[in-house]
Amino acid sequence: MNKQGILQPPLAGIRVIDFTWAAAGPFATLMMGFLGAEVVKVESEKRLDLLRKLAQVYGRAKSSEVSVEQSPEFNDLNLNKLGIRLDMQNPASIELVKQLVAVSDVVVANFSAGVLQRLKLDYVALRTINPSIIVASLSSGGSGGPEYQQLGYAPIFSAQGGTANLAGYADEPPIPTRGASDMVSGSYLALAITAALNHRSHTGQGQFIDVAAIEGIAMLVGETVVDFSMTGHVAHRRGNEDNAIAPHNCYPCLGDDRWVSIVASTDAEWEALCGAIGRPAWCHDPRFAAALSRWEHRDELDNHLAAWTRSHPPEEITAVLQNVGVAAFPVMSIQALAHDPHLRDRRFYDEVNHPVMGPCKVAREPWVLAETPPSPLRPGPTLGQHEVSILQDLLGHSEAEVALLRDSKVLT
Amino acid sequence: MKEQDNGLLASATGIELCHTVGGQFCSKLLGDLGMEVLKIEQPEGDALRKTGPFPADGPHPEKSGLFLYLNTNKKSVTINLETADGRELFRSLLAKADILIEDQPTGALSTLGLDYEQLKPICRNIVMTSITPFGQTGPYADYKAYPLTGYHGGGQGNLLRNEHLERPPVRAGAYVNEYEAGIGAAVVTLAAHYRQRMQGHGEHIDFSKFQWNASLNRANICRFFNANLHETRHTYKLPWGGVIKCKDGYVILLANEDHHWRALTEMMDKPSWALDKRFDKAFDRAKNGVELTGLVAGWFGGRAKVELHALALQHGVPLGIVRTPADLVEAPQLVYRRFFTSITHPDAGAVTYPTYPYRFSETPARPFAPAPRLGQHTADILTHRLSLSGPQLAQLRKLGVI
Repeated sequence: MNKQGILQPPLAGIRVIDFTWAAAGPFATLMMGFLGAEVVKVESEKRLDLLRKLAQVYGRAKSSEVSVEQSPEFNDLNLNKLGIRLDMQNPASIELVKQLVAVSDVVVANFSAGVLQRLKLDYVALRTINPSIIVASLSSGGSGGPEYQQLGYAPIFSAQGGTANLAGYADEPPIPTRGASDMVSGSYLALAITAALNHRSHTGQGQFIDVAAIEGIAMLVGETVVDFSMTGHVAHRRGNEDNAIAPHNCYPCLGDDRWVSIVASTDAEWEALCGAIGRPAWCHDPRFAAALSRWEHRDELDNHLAAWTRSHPPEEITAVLQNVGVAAFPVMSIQALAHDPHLRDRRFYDEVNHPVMGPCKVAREPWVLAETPPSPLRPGPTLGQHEVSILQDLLGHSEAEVALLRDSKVLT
Repeated sequence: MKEQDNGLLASATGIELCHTVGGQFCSKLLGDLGMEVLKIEQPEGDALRKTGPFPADGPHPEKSGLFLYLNTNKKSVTINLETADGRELFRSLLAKADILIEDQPTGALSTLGLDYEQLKPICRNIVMTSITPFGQTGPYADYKAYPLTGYHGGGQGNLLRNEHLERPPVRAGAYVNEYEAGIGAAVVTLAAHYRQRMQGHGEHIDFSKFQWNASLNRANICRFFNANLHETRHTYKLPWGGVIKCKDGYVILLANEDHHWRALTEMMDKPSWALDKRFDKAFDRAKNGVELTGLVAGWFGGRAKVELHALALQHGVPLGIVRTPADLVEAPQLVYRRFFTSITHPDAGAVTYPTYPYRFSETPARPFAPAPRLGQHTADILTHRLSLSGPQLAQLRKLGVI
């Protein structure tokens, strides 16, 4: 509780030194920030976060003049964080990081293997400064091992972890999955850190945590590994099909590339579906009367159902079928998610006033806590935005010392 | 609090009342990290015990591969919550626990007298995590969902570019979105547990799978809002490379930057076409992408995926194998890190499982316990935690409470 009797967020009082960049690592510390931790993001103009340059990378910048402070993605994934610039090639920066570590709880990085050691900022070095420090590293395959130097981006990790093989139709090539797999890696990173914080709370012990993105992806296909081990069966992609349930697919709707997903598993759901769409006769059709025969005739069933869905928008189908207890939901586009009334009702979207970009729409934390009121959001930091207060108020440096650090290009 | 100190979360006890993959994966993650997880099953057993994959000898409630994977390191206690005595036992167990993970349909626990407001006075400072398809509030709160509708509802399917776009959008694996939600719910649960330990405050976490899955696309959503970009499976097209067929499967190549391209030409032993001006700079390669992809595919086509991957690692080319489950269990890095473990279950026998994607320097990995048999720990837990006597247990059994 604070002085006003308001319950503080769960991780209030935890300070995180954040060296992560791009999407996966920043998503982990974004969540920790949403949960109340103070996140100090360490950056350098010499090694800009990839997300600050996305407009150029995607070729959507009208000119090369788009500043590194005009990235909506960077803003969104770095909400609430404090920013300090440190040139990590300068030994004075290493000293400042050590001072930060002394007053912090967690250090997070997604450097390539060996970088923390080279900078002498590995766990063994840092725990001499702060014995209960938690140091967490995220990499593609983990630190060490025959493939530790695996290069790549989220789609490569998803392939290496096994989800791409299961994405797509049996008669089409596999599909590399996209950014969501980065967020999965970041989620595991946040999970491992919160577990270590709990352990520390009753043992006082710190930890080095080594998170492997590819292993995190492989967890998402775990049941196929168990299946292979039990039976030798190698799971293959199969569109939207299920082993036993039909209907179980996406169906075309009124509109341009609009679809609705429908699943009816039990006889009761099937009968409710037939009733709701005015086809009660289907329930008595021997092809569709029982679950097994519905599944055996699933292609015919899909064709029949599609003939009906085609003349209705997905929202209408969803409302009609959910009303009778059948699971149906639109295949959501990014646009549909952005305008979705349910997400808006749950206050998932918010706006921050960014010092350079002005008002920016952002997504908030994706959960609701009954006891803890949501906190106001701060925009993602501009380069070095909070370094003066971090150095002076937190680390006790004088104004003159900070000026010297700036002049000697440590803060760069 | 339990006596054994083994694993990061060994001092905590969680109760699981879950029937979906997402809820059970959440408590599995906590159990695998050492938390004692008491899985409350109805007398007829968890519904996922009836879901495959099953071994060759057919369905068996103790041999579902999905159930076995999701329930490592848990204890099974059967309690019939339809009975007043059963609900009383449940409350008594909860009063001695720290965490409740549940995924019942919205409103179901209120009917049973077991929602957060009703439990709060009995179970001081409980952390309760409610994992539902859409959350406890909002226009869709009472909507039903299956893993497939959840996947496409979260927006991931509409970002997967399948070859023939006139076909419906597809998914990536049967339960991917469920697992993803389970991880997110575990993060928030452990954060709330931390405050519970430090300050003695409870919490009710309203966790919406839909909202969580949408948030995984937050970068795309924010581009839509602020950069006027609407990304769909139609707009996503790699200029060249991507998934490429090789001799025995597929690899994926994302050699976007100039130094990646140079590394790739080295890897292919500098074929004459690769030195052509048409492929000199990133812009040129994108412009002539179809032709370039064809030429690279020609070189890849006669080579095995492990051979290509080994060459790529050696030369610094961003390339990965599109791994099947059979490839995964033999992947050198995963084998080296002992990511997989073999656990012997009394009915299912020795089976290989993924463990977890993290290693902790001060808390080494411990052996996994197999998923429990239905009700395996009922007598033990009720005797030792709630001090019930033999005759009391017999009576509860006779009444169909346990």
